[in-house]
Amino acid sequence: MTTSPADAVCGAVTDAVLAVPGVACLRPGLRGLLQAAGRRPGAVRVAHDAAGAVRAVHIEIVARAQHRTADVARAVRTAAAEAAAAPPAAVTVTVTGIV
Amino acid sequence: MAMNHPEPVGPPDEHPDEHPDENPGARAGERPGDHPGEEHAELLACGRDLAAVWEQTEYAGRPGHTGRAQADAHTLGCAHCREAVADLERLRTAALAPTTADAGGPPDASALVRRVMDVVRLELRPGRTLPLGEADEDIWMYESVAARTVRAAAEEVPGVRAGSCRIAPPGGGVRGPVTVRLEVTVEYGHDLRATSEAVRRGAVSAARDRLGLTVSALDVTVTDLHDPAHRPQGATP
Amino acid sequence: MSAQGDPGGAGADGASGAGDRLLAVRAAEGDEEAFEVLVHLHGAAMLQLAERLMGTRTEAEDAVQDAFVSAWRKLPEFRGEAEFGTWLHRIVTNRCLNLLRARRPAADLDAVPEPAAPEHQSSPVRAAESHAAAHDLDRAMRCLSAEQRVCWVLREIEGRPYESIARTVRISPEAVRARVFRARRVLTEAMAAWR
Repeated sequence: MTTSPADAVCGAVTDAVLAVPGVACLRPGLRGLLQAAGRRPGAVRVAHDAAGAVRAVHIEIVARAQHRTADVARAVRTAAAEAAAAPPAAVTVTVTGIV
Repeated sequence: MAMNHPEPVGPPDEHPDEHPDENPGARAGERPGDHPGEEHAELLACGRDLAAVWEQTEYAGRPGHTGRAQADAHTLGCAHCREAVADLERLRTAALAPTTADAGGPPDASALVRRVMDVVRLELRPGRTLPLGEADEDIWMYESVAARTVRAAAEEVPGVRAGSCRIAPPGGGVRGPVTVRLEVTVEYGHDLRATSEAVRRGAVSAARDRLGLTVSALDVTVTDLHDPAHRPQGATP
Repeated sequence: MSAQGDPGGAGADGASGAGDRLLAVRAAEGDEEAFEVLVHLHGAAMLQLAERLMGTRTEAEDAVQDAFVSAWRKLPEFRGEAEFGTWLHRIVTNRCLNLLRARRPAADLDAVPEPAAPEHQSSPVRAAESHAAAHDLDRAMRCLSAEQRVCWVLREIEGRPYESIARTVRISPEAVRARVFRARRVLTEAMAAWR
């Protein structure tokens, strides 16, 4: 079973975001981080343009209280941009909770 | 006193997916006597109205209830009335008798709390987002989450309990410093001006240092004074 | 609970108006921890109310759970005009009222589950009598309409004034009186066997 390129980008971004220190988890309310093939977690959404390049990335995370929230969001933005091979300007990060 | 209008069948503050006005069970469940004025009064053999005799028993010896007379000489002396009252008292005894279910004390609410909070935590109530960091960074956080941090900072000041905390981004979707409106109650005996100042300083610092949120104005309003808490401030989780 | 600072809950005697107001305002703004404290403070009383209205513990638990979730969703509109406890009582009562209305009439009164045994009986004969009386009462209560049952429980068991019941159930005080009378009539007839 092969993963679509879009799902692959989503997966890469998800992995990169979760690896950022200060990220507790993705926005809760999701059932399972990695859905069955073809379905993407809602907290990481990637939009592609007609040529197949990444146009926009939206990420929602829960951050850890021990870190300054803005710093965590910033680090997530950088990590996600890198994983998606997109400029940071294309990435939006929203912190939906602090634990 | 108009008696013939039908009663509204359901209150407006019900669960949104129920439609009490269209519930066929509501009408079907009514019994004769549900509508005042529809039924002739039931009289005891002595001619007294049974409903009134029974209602007299509600207020006997209870101060503060108005509008209904105490038991009068007739009801106290009449055999029919006394029998009717005895029937009602027998009913009350049975209804108010404690059962083994009650013997363990009031119901345990901890399972209820867990189940309710499981649902509540999964419900997303996003509300508005606030701009974090610099103007050119596309990073945000929920207002309600920032409010929690600001309230916690306010409550680090002795004698303070935090209430409403509203945080507003600059208008028009612009990324810039936010304004905070915080309401607190303060314990009796604390200097209100010094306390408000301490709250303002603490809240602005917390926003900057814990969140990375720039605050251009922070309004602190003391809405009430409160008695000292039975538990100390800063209770650990 | 919040990491720092008492969230403004109760004094030693449990739920209080001022403490509740603070918690309700915070919960309305999305503070889940504040709402959890409110559930703790009011949960037991609401379970007891619902059990008296519904007759069984499981139905009571379901009704109260749904009522609290409904309260969470509606809190932003609540705005603290009334006491939180009063508002919550109204939600729980009306939820139970709707559930009772949705119950099919007790076609088979023998299917009524046995009530819990009465406490503190001085003799086995009296114990048996009051157990049977409680069973008869349970059966008789199933003959009441939802509206009669709710009005009767709020008046006779909770001791609420007629005006308060009228506001809760949104009918006139006269209508409440009529329903309470009818319920008393039905139930005293059922208890007549033990005269």
